[in-house]
Amino acid sequence: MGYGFLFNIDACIGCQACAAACAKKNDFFLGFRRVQKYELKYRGKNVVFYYSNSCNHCENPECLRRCPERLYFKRRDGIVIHKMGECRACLTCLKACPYQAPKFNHQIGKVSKCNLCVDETGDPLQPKCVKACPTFALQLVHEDYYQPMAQYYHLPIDTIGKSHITQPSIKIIIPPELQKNGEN
Amino acid sequence: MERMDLEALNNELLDAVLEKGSLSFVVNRLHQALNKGVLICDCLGRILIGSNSEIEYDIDAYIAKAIDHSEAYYYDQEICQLFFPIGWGKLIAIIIVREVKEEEIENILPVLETANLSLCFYFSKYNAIREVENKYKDLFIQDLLFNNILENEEILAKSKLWGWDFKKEYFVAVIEPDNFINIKTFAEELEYITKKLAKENDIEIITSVRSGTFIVISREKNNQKERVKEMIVEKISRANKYFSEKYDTTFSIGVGHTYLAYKEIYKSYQEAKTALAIARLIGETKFVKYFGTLGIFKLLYKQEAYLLKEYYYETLHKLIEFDKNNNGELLPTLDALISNNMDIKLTAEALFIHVNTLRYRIRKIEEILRIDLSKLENVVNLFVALKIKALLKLHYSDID
Repeated sequence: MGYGFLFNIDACIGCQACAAACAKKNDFFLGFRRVQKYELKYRGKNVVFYYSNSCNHCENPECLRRCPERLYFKRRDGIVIHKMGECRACLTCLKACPYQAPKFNHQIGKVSKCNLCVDETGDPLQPKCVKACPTFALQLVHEDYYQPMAQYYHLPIDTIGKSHITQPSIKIIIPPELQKNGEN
Repeated sequence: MERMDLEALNNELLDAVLEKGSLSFVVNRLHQALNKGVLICDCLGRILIGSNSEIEYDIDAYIAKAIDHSEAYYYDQEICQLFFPIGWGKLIAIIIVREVKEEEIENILPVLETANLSLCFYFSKYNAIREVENKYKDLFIQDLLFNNILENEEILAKSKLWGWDFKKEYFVAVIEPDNFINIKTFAEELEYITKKLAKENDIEIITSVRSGTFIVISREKNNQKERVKEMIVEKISRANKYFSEKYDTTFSIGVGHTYLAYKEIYKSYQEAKTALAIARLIGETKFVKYFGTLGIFKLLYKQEAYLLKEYYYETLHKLIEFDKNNNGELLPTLDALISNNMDIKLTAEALFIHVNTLRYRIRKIEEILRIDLSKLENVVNLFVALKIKALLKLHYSDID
């Protein structure tokens, strides 16, 4: 596989710095990352947590399979790229992606998505969202293999529930109060 | 053999291996020196030189014995064969000498020890070349399967280098083990099986490994324009028996549609993986799933979990409640009935109950759910609800 994200639910304070950094990098009108607040009752306790989500650069990207124009590709380092220039905005990928990662840019009439900031110069790869996170809740990792997300299915995060097919390149650290069967 | 003769033999074998890279020369020379039948097989028990027909016993069992044996060789009195492991510390290959009497072993061993060095060289060289070849092949295949080559011409030119005609239609099958197994061994075994299959049926089979899965790319039709897709998948699937006996594991296969290789083969790969993932999701093992035959599951897996849960309870909650309150078996009975295509006799056999008991339970189910099970629409609704149960188990702990 390759690059992916590591997200620590406990460390995220919901400051939206990652989303703002992404939006800034993409000229303020097209941020690919969003932070959502979840409130739920889990094992008799009220739990509040935040989850930051963008393209997960999946092992089985639905956008890649469904795009009729063949504009998506997955690089050897695992990053899924969309060739925006040739996009005719059929929006098939928007509907196909369970994480709502591709976004429609109304100003240019094309779809675009997170590319892990590979267009930024500099070495090593440092996505803006990861750089902006003040609590290091969001980190970039490089793994050979990302575990299937079955261990996170009990969390009421919509996008996680649909991850069994696409196998996103993301690892989540779950706080003790949200752990399944009392273990990680 | 005298010491001088052994040295000469050693030089001769080394020359043959280093200059010509010939394993057959080594075997022929050993055959001459020993005046006995000689076979060489790799550490997985696959005969590399000699023929399978010469072996009329379960070679794996003897090789396991030879590996476990603490001595430098293993002699089996029953079949009168000598097994001599090659390699220092790590087993690389095994020489099998046929029709050996116990008193001859002493004379045979120095000759086999002489061959050890040259065979070690041969296999080191062979494995190093194969590793480099596989590395470049795997990278090309993975670029192809993730649409990571922008120009069609580049795909065609690169495929020509490997002798593949990607202007034709190909399909992808993804094979994944059902239980834990060393992926290197798994891939080596399957590579051997697919190579043999390709040779026997005069078809092109390309293989690769990624993320714990073995990938097979092949043509839908063979050179005689006969449709062979299903035959290839079926024959690979038959190897399940061999894997369950040897490694105590089975495997499942997901198969994608057929596409023009240089244009859309990546779609076939994604479809094969989707088919595999969906079938796994509903709890199947040791299956062959074609993306084209996923049916209702293609729609189901995309639905929100709460919608599925709602449907499941709407359709079956009366039955679940009844079972809960009366310690009943109606839901498992319904599940078994639908799994057995509504065949009463088969279901009764599967549940170890009398046909009349089953008939009574069916009447009870119809009564509780207020439906007629002879109507297809009702059966389909129940079938979908039961399949949803498997999907829901992943999301909700209260579904069992």
